[in-house]
Amino acid sequence: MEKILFSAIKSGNNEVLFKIYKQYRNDFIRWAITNYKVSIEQAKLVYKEVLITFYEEINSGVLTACNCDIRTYLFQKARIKLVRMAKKEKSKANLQVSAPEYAKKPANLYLNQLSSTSKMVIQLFYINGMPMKEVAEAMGFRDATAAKKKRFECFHQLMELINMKQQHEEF
Amino acid sequence: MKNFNQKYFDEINAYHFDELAAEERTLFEAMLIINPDLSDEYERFKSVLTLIKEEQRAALLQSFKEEDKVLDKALLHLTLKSRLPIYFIIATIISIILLVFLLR
Repeated sequence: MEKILFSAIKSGNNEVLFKIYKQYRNDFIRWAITNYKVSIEQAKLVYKEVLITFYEEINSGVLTACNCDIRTYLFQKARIKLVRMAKKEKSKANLQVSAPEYAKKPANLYLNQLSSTSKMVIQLFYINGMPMKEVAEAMGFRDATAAKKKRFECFHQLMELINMKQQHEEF
Repeated sequence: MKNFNQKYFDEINAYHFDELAAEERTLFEAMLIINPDLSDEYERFKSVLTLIKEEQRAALLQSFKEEDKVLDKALLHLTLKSRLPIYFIIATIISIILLVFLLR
């Protein structure tokens, strides 16, 4: 079951991740508030960060299987963050909930400007860590060489978009 | 992006994602030292990768926040439900105090 979930995430199916997010989110918040005396907002933030780390670990191949069930894995991962947060809370009376740096950035500002095919190629290879041969199969390209050519074009487009934005900001 | 061609790009990808054999890797590292254009391209490549990852994180965060709207309602409901016994005890104590006060 867990292997199916992991391979679905690796193949770019984020719905699986959202399902996991929904499944354990409220249980997590109650558990964090009760055991670590953090605020609801802090618990929510920690849960989001843990899910994003979980997603990145699966895609990068760091996490290929859990020794325990996914719920336990996520809660264990969060424990360190929560303990750290609770300690800070003790030393500082009114601790602000500071969102991570990426939370301040717009979602898919550049990627959304690419065509859906280009965006998918970039996502499958650079985010989901899918080998080019599999990208070719998933996207219906002739072979890995054709997929690499497309990857080069997409990346080039992305670089141009970034350049244009930077030049625009300079003026 | 003067000399940005697919050959360079494929080599950069292979190097970055550890797909090169030991000898090829050493050769590429030597090229990075002697070829400033390649070195610049590699730096740019890494910065674009960082941007892609940050965009993806921001997109996930946004999607999670959209899910939160529905989940927060359930959370509030459950929080209230879990506090019901406390409210019941408080109400009972207040009622007893009021009753004692009235009987006096």
